[in-house]
Amino acid sequence: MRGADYDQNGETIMKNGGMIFTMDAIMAIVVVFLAIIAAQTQMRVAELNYWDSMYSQKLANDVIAALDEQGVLATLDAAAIESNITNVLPDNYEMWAEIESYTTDLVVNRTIAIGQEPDAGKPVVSGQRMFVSGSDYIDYYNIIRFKVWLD
Amino acid sequence: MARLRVMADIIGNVAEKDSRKGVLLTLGLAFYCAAMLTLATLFIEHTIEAREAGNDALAMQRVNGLFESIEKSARDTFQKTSGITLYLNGSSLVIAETLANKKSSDYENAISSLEAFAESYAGGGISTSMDTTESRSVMSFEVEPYNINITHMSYGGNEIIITPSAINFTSYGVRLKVPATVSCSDNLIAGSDIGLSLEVSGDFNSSCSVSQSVSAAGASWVIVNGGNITINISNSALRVESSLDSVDVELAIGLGNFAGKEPEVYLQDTLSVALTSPAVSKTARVRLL
Repeated sequence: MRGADYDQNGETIMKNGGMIFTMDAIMAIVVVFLAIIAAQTQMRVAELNYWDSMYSQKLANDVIAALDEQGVLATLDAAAIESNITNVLPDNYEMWAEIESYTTDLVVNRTIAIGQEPDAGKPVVSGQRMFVSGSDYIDYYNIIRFKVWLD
Repeated sequence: MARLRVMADIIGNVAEKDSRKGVLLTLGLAFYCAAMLTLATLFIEHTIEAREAGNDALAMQRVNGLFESIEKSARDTFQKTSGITLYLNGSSLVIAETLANKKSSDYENAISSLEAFAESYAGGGISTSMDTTESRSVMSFEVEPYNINITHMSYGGNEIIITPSAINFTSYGVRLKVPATVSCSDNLIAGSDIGLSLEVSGDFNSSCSVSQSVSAAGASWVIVNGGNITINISNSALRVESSLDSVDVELAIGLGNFAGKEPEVYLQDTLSVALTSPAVSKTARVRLL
């Protein structure tokens, strides 16, 4: 068994060992905390970004699909469409949409903007839907492109 | 001096014990740290995987949303322009059409435009393709899950053919409205396979009707006005053929009580929507009913 190291005054080098031990522990704790913070940040970013994005995408798709099923989109009436979107969209969401309407020869007939575009840099989710319109016949082929974001 | 050395030895032994404790503590802490780091790494890996899965799910939503919108557009186009009505009446699937179908060119133009539109204007890295050849040429439907095919010899022509893959239906109902005085003759092979109900109404309150169970194996037929219209049942398939300019035809396929399988009717046309990155696509037939 090895004896303790000690100096001429009988003081062991335990003091140095303790300091190293303490520093080792502090460094280890720092590393662990950094790793945990990094993991939490990743989780938070993931949760905020993609769960919100998925919900927003689903919400926007459903809203536009409902307006299509109800025949509101086919009216090509910006005010009516905006009013219906406002009625069904949750208060904490905003939506912007643009309809491009084409004739049967696929020439642009008109472009209809609905709502205000989001501020630059605002995280948005986008989508598109095609629909046809006309009274007795198919007069227009339309595509609505939309963006939705948390207010 | 000796006393001093003894004291130093005692202090040395105490220090050795403390040093061993320190080593154990360091090892324990190192193990704890390693475990925490492993957990953190697992968290990060899981998060990355979840994010990728989330991106895929988002892409699927985008693709599916656009697919459904084009499918609905095709359905609207069919309903507005084809001159054919499909609906459920009780436990029967009914197809109503005027033969010859003079609206076929309207449908052909409208669906061709939709095909070109869908293939040209989808943005955001999404590509679409439609193949409407089948509906434009013979306007063919498939009734699922019964696997019954309804088609025309030529869309816009004078002949409708219903071909079941098995006798998984109960009856055929045929109602015709003919712009002439009508008379009928028939040759029906009696059997218990298929219930046939035929009603023909014509001008001047003329009419004829048949209600009988027929054999699926034989070849039964009814002739209206000496051959202007023929209705054939052969190998369980029903064929209605007219040489008149305009006959209103309503065909009903009795599907029993559906047995929990409500019929779905699909056009034979295919629609495909694909996103490049991440690679997600959906290809399916257009559902009408």
